[in-house]
Amino acid sequence: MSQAIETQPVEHELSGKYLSFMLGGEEYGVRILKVREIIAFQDITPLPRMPDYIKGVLNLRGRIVPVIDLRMKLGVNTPEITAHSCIVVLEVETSAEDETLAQIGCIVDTVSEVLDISSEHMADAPRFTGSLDTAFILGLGKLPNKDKVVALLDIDHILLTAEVIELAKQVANETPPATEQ
Amino acid sequence: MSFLSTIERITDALQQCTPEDASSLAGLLAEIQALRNDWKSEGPDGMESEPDAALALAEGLLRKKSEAPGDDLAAIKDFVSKVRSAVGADAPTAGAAEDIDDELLQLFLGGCEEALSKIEGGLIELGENPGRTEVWAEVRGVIHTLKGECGVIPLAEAQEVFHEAENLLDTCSTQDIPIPIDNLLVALDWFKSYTEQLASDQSTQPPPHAEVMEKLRMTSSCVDAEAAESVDEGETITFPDDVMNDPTLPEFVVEARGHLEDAEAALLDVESHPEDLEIINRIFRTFHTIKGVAGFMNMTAMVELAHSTEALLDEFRKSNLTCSEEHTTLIFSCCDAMSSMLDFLTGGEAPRTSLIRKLVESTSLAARGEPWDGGSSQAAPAPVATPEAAAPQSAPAPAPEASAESAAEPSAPQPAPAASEAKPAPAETPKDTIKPPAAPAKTGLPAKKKYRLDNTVKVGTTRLDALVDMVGELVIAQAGLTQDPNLASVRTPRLQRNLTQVGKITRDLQESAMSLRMVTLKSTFQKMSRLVRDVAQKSGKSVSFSTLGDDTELDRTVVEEISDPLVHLIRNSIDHGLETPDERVEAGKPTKGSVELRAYHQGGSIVIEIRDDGRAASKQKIFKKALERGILPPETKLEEMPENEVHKLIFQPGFSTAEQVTDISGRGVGMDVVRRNIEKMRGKIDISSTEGEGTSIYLRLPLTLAIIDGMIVRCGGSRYVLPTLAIEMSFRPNPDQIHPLLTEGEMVDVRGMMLPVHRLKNIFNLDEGTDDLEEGILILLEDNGARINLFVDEIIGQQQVVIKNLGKALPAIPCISGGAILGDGRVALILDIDALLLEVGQPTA
Repeated sequence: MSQAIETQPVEHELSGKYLSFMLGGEEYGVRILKVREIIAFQDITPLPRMPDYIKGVLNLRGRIVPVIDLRMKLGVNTPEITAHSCIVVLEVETSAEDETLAQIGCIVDTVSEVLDISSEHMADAPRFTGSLDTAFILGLGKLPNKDKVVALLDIDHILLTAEVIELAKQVANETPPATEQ
Repeated sequence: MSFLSTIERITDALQQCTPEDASSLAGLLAEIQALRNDWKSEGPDGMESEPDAALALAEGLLRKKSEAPGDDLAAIKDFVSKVRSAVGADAPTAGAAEDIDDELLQLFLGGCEEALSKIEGGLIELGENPGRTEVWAEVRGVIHTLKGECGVIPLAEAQEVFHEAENLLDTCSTQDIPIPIDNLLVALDWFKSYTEQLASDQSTQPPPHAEVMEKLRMTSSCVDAEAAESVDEGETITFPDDVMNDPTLPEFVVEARGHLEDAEAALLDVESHPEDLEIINRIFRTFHTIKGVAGFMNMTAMVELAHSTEALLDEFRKSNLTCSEEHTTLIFSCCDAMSSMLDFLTGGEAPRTSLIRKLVESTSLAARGEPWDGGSSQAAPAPVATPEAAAPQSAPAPAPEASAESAAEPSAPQPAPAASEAKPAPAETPKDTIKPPAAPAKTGLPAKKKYRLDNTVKVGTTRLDALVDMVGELVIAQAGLTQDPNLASVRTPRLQRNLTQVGKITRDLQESAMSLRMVTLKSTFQKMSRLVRDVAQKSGKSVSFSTLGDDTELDRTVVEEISDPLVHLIRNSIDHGLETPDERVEAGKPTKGSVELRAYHQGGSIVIEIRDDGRAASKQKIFKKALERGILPPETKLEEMPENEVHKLIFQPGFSTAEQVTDISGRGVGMDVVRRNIEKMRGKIDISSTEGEGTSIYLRLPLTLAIIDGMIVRCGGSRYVLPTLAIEMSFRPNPDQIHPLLTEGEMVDVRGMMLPVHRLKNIFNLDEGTDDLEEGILILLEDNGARINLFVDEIIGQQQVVIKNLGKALPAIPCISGGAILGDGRVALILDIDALLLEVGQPTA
């Protein structure tokens, strides 16, 4: 199965509008339909004993929304909060059975623009050997006129509940209870 | 007294007797002979010829000479009941003590349940197969026996009711009329509630039985009337009483009205596009939905009409017929009849039975492509209109007999309701409901029933949640506003007054927003009592079921979720927990097992308790099973395990997944599923069990959206909320109270109790916050008897907080039960004290 065949269809399943944002100098995109809103960076209440990339929870107009640091999650260098940092609130599927969407905030460096990526500019996700995890990359959007490539994130799977539960379990096991006595 | 006992024996024999069964007939014959022999000395006066006649009938039956065995048997029964009443076998003997004999009553009540379920089962069977005379005989026999027993106790009212019920059964049988099952069930329900009252309080007054009597009597007379003139033109449809009191009725009516509106709109479309199947489908679905719900609520007339309309529509769907204008007119009439039935449900006039019947007939004729009574397709009959050709007999000749019968059947056993049946509805019916005087059955136009229904609006839960969320935010914003330092500097009375006013409105708003989501457990518990009856019947056990605290309010979502686990637990209790009556007698327990369902507040949660007095699971067997299944490490000793820990093993996954756990009462089948469901609601399940004496299962459920009283503490840079209910005290210890232990641990002497200190900082692996016990503060937490001192940096204050979940995208976080938004808009985490104690290794007592 060559890439040529996969990219051949008239309408690539990935074509459409994407919100692009920066993470440590790299540009990423998520489907615009997944985006609920973009808010300025604000105080986050940390959650104890969670994986590092889960930064905590914040109050979004009376609703508590968990926040993750996409840079840490994707392994894109160390995070740093600047005046441009903001939180993109996304609506994600949490599991196959549950059709209702959960909200999740993602800390990004800056939000760039809304891109309309057409079929001919789509490329499948690359595979790398080594530590680089490309599992969350749906594909790449090439923008010839701007001379850049945007990695399109599979946001539903980036924080699939099962994975987080696994992580939480690990964390719980690493912390033996009652260490004090 | 031999005479009386002979009569009793005959009664018994009659119950078992069928015209086909020679041996039972022979027994009967012998008893009647004995009766005749005793007649001269002890028999009642003025009935000398009766025993001979009965004897002749019995002989005829035995020799198979009888032409109508059923009638002859019924005649013998009549005779026996006549004799019984003549000699007073049924009535309490004159001068008998008016006081109810305790022991006798207990015995009687013990047997009642079984008798009642027998009657109920029999009646339902009869409803399905009206021709089964042996079932009829059994039901009548049991009713008769109950009547007799009620006479002995004496429970005069109950006796009257059963007498009437018996009459009704007889009338139906002699005139070959379908038995009005529903009305008899109403009588049973009445008696059931009476016995329940009696069980708790022997001096109790019976619940009013006039309605029941009225119903039975009226049914008898109605049935009579019907037999006489086939169809009473003025007769109107009726629905079972429990439907009228059903809390979901308003919803149903609103929904059904909506459906009908859709259907009518679609019908108009059909007229212009008769070929469009999608439109037909829409109408079909409408009637199908209504049929489904109406069937669920036992509204026979509505079901029949919906069904036949559906059948007609189905023919269009299958393109066997094309929808003509006449057809649509007919369906319109059905819609009108439907809505008049809905009007009736909401207090309007009852539509005529004949009207419904006629429509059912016309639609089924139409469905077969045969001409139907054109008159009915001319005008939409209004409920008050008297169709000229109302009686089914006037239906066109081509109708095959079978269909005419089936069409007539549904409404036949539905007598006209009398106004006096209007029982006060549970919650919905306002107190001021006018109770019209009882109308005689045959007046045809019963006094208007007034069921005032609360107007309801169906709102999606998401919108409701959004509202509650927003109100919660309003509360926070309001708090922020009143505490604003700038405002505080402007201390004018007017501002002050307005702020107070806003605060009050906000609180009221919050309260009513919260109450929108709270519902009582009543309907859940009601469902359970039905379940108990069914399961008990199936498993052949006699169970007395009682509930307590069904008015306890819980969040709607919890109430919905709790139903399944409850069904499971109750089924387990009866099926596996309770012994059979024989075993119970052997164990020296009352034959009737008891299952109790109770709901109450405890601490900050609701506890639902299911308690049975069955044999309970054996500790050894659970233990053995757990070892076998590898749930426990093989070296575990039973003696070393605390008792309730052993019982809790049944909640372990894998404990019972494979083969049925034999002997240990099968408990544990799917118990881990129950536990998971409960835990998903942030609840807890617990069991306490004494072998041979019974088992109690406790479900501790949160009130969910409920506000909790919280103590806000700080540890490092974060704030946490501790449920105030779990806090016993907070204090800063004196140095001499602190006792270091090993290298790091500390115990603190609190009023003589040595309690360990746990630092929240360490539990949560925080890298900030103080370690020095004298700088921070200790909070003594208690849950279920276990206590620890929790060390935090400082106490910020106390306030009510709204529990919110932390978002579905996150898994459950250990020791955190949720989040709360504080006055400054930031989130504080709510600690789960129970989990916290477990975490630090304090077993709850």
